[in-house]
Amino acid sequence: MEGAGTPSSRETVVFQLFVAGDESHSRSAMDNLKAICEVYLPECHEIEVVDVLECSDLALEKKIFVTPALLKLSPAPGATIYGTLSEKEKVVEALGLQREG
Amino acid sequence: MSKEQPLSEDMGALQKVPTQIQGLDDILYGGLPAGRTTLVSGGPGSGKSLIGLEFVYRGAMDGHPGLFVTFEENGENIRENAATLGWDLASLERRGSLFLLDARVDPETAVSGQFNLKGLLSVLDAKTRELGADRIVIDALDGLMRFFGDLEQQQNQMLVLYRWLMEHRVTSLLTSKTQPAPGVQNQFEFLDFLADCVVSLDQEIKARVSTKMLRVVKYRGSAYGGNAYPFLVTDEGLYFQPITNVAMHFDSTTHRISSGSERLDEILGGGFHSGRCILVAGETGAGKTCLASTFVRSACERGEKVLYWNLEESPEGMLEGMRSLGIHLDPALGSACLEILSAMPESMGMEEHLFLLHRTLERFRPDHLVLDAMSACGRIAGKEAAFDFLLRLVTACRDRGITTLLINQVGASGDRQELSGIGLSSIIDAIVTLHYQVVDDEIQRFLLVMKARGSHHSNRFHRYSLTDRGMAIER
Repeated sequence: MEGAGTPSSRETVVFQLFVAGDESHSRSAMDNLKAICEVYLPECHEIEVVDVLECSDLALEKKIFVTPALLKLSPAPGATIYGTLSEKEKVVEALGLQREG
Repeated sequence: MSKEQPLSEDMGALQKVPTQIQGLDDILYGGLPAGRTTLVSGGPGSGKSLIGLEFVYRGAMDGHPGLFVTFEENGENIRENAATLGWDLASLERRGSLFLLDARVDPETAVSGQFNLKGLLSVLDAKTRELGADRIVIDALDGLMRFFGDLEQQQNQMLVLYRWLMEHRVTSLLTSKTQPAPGVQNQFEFLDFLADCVVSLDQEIKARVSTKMLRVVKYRGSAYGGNAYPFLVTDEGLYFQPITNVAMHFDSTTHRISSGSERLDEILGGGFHSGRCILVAGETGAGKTCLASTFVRSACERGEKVLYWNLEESPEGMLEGMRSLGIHLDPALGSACLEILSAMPESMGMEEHLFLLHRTLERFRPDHLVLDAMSACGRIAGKEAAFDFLLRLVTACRDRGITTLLINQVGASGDRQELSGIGLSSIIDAIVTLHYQVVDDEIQRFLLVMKARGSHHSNRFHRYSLTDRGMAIER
């Protein structure tokens, strides 16, 4: 485990989810992320949804060229995950999450 | 797919966008298809990124803003490499004429589920609008496609990209690696099919010299040069010198110039034609360089500029040899009418030789060129290549109105085929041959004008000798 997100710290995990408008991929990614957060980060997560069709500047700044894409901004270490987040184990592993025990 | 629209609209008159890459537009009969997609494929180091970069750079310099999207090399490296070619990308970026998008993806990035290229397209949308860009280069597709797991996904995303490019009517150039080994399914094959123009780059090794080659595989709605064209990466960018429509027409309007010898002028029926190609052939020691130097001296005395391209010996050696025959070229060198370009044939490849020549022609702007000797050209890259080389050289000179004096050293047999020079006779306007024979311990020398287009020249053998005052032709 990489230290971040351990249950005791209860530090809020901040995400940016980049989507492209209201396509089905966007909705899936949103739903999948919420479900994961409810299990692993109850009441200690923030999700900002960025629509690249509206905010291409931010996409460029963060070098997000595919959507959906999830950025974990804080706490360190950060992480980037591409896709609809449908494969939960991969997301959990990439974010270094542990189920609250 | 969000919008359905025909992949290929009706042709009409195909507009072209010049690449402004030296020589490439001749091969493409004007340039890339405007508002359409060109695919350039090639192996590592084949120059595909550079073609893309030069296209965007030259456009930006010429008031056509463009985007360069890189998936392979980092942006800073690209700027540095461009700087070695004298291209200041950063200043074009500041002026809003060029946008370099470093879209490389961290290979460690995790993937979970499906995704698409909309992020990239929205950035391209915004930047295209902001710059008013009419051209986009994507380098390289395989870098972009790496993240899309299966072939179907890759093809879907390429189709999305292709449609975006077509809808935005930008002239695009996409690069990709050369096709994988036969039998492996190729994800870009279908893009070959979609693209309006497909260009492939290759390297060829002949006579131990590696040459980069470009071939246009298809060009929808346009004619194009069908050969494999060699090209060079120089310190100014890419350099192609295709043989363009080698016209065989004979222009009788050129004026006559003296060969430097009154007697030879008479034999030629009034001297050489300026701007034409003259071949001087003979065995070693026959006096070819002497004849050429006599011409050079008189031309320089008239204030005409001569480039002497010596593939046989150093300038010092040549000057010394001529001095012993009473031909002093030092005043011509001093007056800057004569320039001697000396290079060993083996020292570089054919394209490098041609580029060096081309650059010297552009800078020095000579009236006449002497090539000593065309027989040495075979040592640059073999006999067949020598033909191509000479054809391009003579064409380049003729296009500029430069008289070309080709010196050809032939073997003792002196057969006609060899005398008239590697099958080039159709572009050679006059042939002067020098012969000698030993009679009673004495060398007898003869000069013959075998051909002189547009002249009433002598058909006889004329005896001559080499004296300490140059070539003396008997009456």
